Amino acid sequence: MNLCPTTAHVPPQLSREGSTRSIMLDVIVALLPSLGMSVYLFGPRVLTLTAVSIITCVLSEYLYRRLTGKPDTTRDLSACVTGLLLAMTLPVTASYWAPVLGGIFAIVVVKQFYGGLGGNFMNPALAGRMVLCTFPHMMTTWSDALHWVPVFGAPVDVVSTATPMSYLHNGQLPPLEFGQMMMGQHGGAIGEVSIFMLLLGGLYLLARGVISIRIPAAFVGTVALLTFFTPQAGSGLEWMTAQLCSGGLILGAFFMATDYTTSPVTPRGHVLFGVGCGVLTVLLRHYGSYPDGVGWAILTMNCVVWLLDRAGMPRRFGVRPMTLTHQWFQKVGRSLSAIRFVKPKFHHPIHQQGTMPGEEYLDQIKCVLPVAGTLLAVILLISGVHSATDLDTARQEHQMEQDILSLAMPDAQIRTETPYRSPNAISISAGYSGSDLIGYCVEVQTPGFHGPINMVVGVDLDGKVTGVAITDHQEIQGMGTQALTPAFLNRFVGRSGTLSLSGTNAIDAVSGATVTSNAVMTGVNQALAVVANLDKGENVNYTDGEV
Amino acid sequence: MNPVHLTGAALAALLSENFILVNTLGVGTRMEAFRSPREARRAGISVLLVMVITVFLTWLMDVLVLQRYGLGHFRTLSFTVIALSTVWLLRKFLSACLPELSRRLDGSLASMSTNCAALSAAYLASSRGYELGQAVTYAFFGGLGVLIVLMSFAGLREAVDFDQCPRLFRGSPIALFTLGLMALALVGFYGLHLS
Repeated sequence: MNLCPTTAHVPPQLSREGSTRSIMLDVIVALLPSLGMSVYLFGPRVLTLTAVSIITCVLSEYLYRRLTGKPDTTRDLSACVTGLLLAMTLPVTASYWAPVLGGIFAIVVVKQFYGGLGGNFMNPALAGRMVLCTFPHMMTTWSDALHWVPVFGAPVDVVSTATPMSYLHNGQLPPLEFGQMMMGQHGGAIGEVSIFMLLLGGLYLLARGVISIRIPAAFVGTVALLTFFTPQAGSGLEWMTAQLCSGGLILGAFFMATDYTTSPVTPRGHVLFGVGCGVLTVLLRHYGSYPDGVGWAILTMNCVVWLLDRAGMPRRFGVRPMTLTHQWFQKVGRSLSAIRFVKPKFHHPIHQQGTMPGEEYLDQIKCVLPVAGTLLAVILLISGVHSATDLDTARQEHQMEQDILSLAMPDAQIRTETPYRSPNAISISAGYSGSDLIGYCVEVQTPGFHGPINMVVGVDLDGKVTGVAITDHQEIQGMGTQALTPAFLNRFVGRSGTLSLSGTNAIDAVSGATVTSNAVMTGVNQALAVVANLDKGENVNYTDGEV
Repeated sequence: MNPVHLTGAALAALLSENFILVNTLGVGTRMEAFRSPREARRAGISVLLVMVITVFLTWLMDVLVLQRYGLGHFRTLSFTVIALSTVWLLRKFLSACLPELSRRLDGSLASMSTNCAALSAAYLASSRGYELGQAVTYAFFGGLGVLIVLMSFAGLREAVDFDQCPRLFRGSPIALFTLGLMALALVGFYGLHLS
């Protein structure tokens, strides 16, 4: 008889009920430490925003299911989790209609239109967040930590700050200690600042068996590896730590990328998914226009999950791991080897029967005639129209030239080519008034927010800017075009040297269009540098005999 | 053949200017390409082949003939003729010499004659003044982007039930919604630049 009672060690997986509701409860519990920390950092507005978000999501799911006559699914708490995750990606200064809009889009369009839980192919909370990114001004006003934002009313007294992510996006290390970064004492979205609390939540989920370590490890590991070897400032270790602790990386890796419905099923697929997310995140963070690329990376990988499932090669019981890969290679090999090269038989029209010698060529001409005839007619038409309108075209080009000159170098009447070539400029031309050389017009291209911006910058012989003319851009109305107005471009007239956005020799950027203002300023700096080096020969080549 | 230029053109064609999801060009008229992954793969491969060959030939035409002799007003016509001839020649070559490949790809190649992806790639390469290496890389990765998008859409169609939406949205609307959501994911890549 056993007198010592033994406690049976039950592995956590067995104690898990396995129902959706308990999994969702686990996720909510895992997110609570981070939520609590941000209430401490940003004030009670965090709670009201989260409440609005959760209520919107639950209500829209309930109403949609009720209005379409489907069974109610709000009891499985997945809408709650969506609302909570959506709120955690918002800045605390977001207006209250933001989670409403994002929540309705996330629940109704992204989730319910595809059949509700388990049917969607994209992470609903992330998709809602990304839709809100189309209101960039709201999404990029960050309040500093420990400065509480009022619950009601527009936050006017906000101490806006540069978040660690914006420092990293500009290629600098954020001026924060490791402890500050871990506990979240900096600006950022509600749920993503407190790395320590998020890691606690992630560990809780791992211990409960809700998520597996594969996706977060692959994701964070890839980002760590890539940022360690490509630092833009500081040492590899410093850059890597800063990158790992800023933005939505930990929140995304543990809570968004691991969503069951929108990630692959197979273990190999998990790893591929995590690695893909990591590569895209680093690409976007280093070279993209938006500071934080985690959300976009996860959404893009969500679209290719189905390809990863096929590549994941689910293991079957009793079959060795590489057997399926081997079989797949064999299948592809068999399929490709079915394609054989066949020697073509040339049709000899001369040996046709039943025609007079010379007649078969008439048949061939009859087939080709319509096509050739149409082609000839079109060529004649185009030549005709061209010669009738080339004067007008020339006049239009001349008018455009005059417009550019009036903006870039108002004192000049004509622009002539020069034999100067520089890798930093598309073309260098000289502006003349009569026979006096006024200055040089340099055409440069710089990366703007949505694409490259081409501009012509006029620099006179003293090295001062005479004007800036934007010839091509891809900015969107309200998201960058404010920095392309004449009012902003006039700020550059008369400036010289190397301009910057702050400090001595500063240009005031347009608020809400910093990237575009920076792009224009970089272009002007490039033009000034090119003209300054014209006679020194660095970077500018004089190709004799070309003009 | 600057590697930075080539990588920039490749990333642009694949992500920030994806032909189907960002530029909305080259979606094609062949409906089977959106239904099964196998047909999607074949359509993607046809787009890739035709785009690369077309852009190579049109670049040569543009630089060696049109710009040299000042015949820029013939650009539309000559590019169109080159694109259509490429498709025709490719189909003839495949049916004569590689019958099995022709059996698989002929339908997709036939639909390429009404697909604007090759022509638009040629135009973009010409108007941006790409070098030959850049232009061919742009076309190759543009075709690759089309292939990936078509295959993921077809795979999605097999895995996700598109009939769960309200009755009014069934069929084309929900498919277009899906493509729109996929395009939303690529918004973050707009303005990606390597310099």
